[in-house]
Amino acid sequence: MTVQEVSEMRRVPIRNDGERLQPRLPLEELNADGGLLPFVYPNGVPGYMTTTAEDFRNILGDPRFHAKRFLGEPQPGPVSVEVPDMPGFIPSMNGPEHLAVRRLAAGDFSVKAVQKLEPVIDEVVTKYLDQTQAHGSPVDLFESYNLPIPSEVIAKILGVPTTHTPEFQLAARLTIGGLPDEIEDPMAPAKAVARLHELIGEIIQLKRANPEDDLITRLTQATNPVVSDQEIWGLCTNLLLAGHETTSTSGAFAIAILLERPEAREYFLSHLDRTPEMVEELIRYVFMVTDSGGGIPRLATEDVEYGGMTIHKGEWVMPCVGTANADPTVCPHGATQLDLAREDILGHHLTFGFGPHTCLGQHLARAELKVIIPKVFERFPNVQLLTPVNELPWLDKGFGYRMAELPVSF
Amino acid sequence: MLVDYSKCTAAGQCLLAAPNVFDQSAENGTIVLLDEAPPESEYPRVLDAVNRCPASVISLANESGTTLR
Ligand code: HEM
Ligand code: SF4
Repeated sequence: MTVQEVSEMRRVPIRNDGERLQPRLPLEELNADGGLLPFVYPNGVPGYMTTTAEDFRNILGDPRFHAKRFLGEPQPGPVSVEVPDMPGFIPSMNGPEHLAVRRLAAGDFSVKAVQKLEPVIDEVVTKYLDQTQAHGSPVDLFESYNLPIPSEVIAKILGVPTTHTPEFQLAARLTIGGLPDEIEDPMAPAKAVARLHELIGEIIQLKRANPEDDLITRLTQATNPVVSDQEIWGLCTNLLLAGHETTSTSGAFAIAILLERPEAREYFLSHLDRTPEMVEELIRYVFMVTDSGGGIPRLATEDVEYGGMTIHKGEWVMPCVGTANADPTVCPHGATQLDLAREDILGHHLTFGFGPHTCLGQHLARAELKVIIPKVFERFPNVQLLTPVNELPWLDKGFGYRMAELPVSF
Repeated sequence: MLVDYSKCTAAGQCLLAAPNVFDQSAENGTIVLLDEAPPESEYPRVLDAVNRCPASVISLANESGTTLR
C-alpha cells in the first residue's frame, strides 16, 4: 500500500456511541461486502480486515501468513504497544518450531486433562463466592470474583506454590493495566511482566529441587526438545496473559448481560441443563459485539493472490472474529442478536480462532465459564446490577474493549 | 482415513466431534486415531471432525487411496 493509498483509505468503522450491547462494527454490512477490506486502524497502521468466516479460516490456515506479536515495526491495532521479545512465547512463533513448543504444554489443556480439572475449578470458584459473600453487598463483582479466578486456575496448572500465588495473581492483574488504582503508573504492566519473570524463575528453581506433578516441573524435565528457563518463562507468561484477561472479562460481561436483561436471565436460569450450549452462545456473542476489527494480526511473508487481489509481502491481514461469528454460515438465524435457545453453536463459531494458533486454552475457558456464570445466580439469587451496562467504565483493549467494574447488590 | 500428525495443533476438535474415533495424546495433546476404518454410523461425526479441525490434519480417502476430502 502506498502512502497515497493509505491516506485515502477508510478508517475501521467502529461505533463510539457507548452502546455496549450492539456490535461495535457494522457486521451485516461487512459480511455482505465480503472479501478482504483495506482499513486504517486507530493507531494509523493499515491492514486488510476479513469480513466472512471463510476468509477468516483461509487466512488463519495459510502458512504464508505469520503470527507476529513483537516487532520493531507497528502493526494495526487500537494502540501501538511495546512488548519485550520472549523465547517460548508461542503466539509469535510459526511453523514446526511453533508446534514443537505448543505441544509441550498441549497435554495439560486437552479435553480430558481439562475434565480432570473440573473439581479444581469448582474449588476456586467456591472460594471466591465465599469471599464475595463475606465482603457483603454492594460489591464490585469483577474485582472480587471474575478477575481472580482464571489466574488462580492457571497458577494451579503451572504448579505455582501457594506461597507465591497471591503475588503471581497480582502481577497478572497488573499486566492487563488500566485498573482504577494503577492508572497513575503507565509502566505498571511492563513492571508486572518483569516481576512475573523473577517469580517464574524462582518457581523453576523450586521445581528443579522438588519435582511435582505440574506443568512447570514437566517443562523442566522435557528432553525432546529440552526447554530453556527463558522458554519456560515465555510459555508460562503466555499462558497467563492469554487465559487471564479473556476469561475474566468475558465472564463478567456475560453476567452483566444476564443481569441487564430479565428475559435472558429467566431463560438461562430455567434451562440450566443447557448450560454448555448457552455459555457457548454467550462466548460467541460477547466476542462478536466487542470486536473492534481483529486482535489477531497476520503478516504476509510473500506476495499472496487472494480473492482477485494481491496482498504484498509485509502487509497485514486482520482476521475479524466479529464478522466471522456473525456470518450466516456460522450462525444462520439472527446472528447479531443473543439467542440462548440456539442449538449447535458448539465448535462452530470462531471466537477461539482457527489454524495452528487456535486457542490452546479453549476447553479450559469453557470449563471455567460454565461454572463461573451460573454459580453467581445460584449463590446470590437476588443479585442486581447497580449501574446500567452502557454506563459502566470500559477500557479499550487489543481484542476489543472490556469492562473494568461490575458493581452489584445481592 | 488419513491423518497428518505433523500438522496437528492439539486443539481437540476431532475428539469433541467424534469421540469414538479420535482421542488426544495425554503427553502432547495431538490426535490419536482410535479407529482407522470407523463404521458407517460414524461418518457424519467424522466429517464434522474433518471440517472442524483447524489445521486440516484429517482427510478421507477411498479404498484405492483417492483423497475424497
Ligand atoms: C474466553 C476466553 C478465551 C478466548 C476468547 C481466547 C481466544 C484466543 C484466540 C482467538 C487465540 C488465537 C490467537 C491467534 O491466532 O493469534 C488464542 C490463542 C491462545 N490462547 Fe486463548 N482464549 C481464551 C482463553 C484462554 C485460556 C483460558 C488459555 C489458557 C490458559 C488460553 C491460552 C491461549 C494460548 C496459549 C494461545 C496461543 C496459541 C498459539 O499461538 O499457538 N486462552 N486464544
Ligand atoms: S482437531 Fe485437528 S488439530 Fe485438533 S487435535 Fe484433532 S487433528 Fe489435531
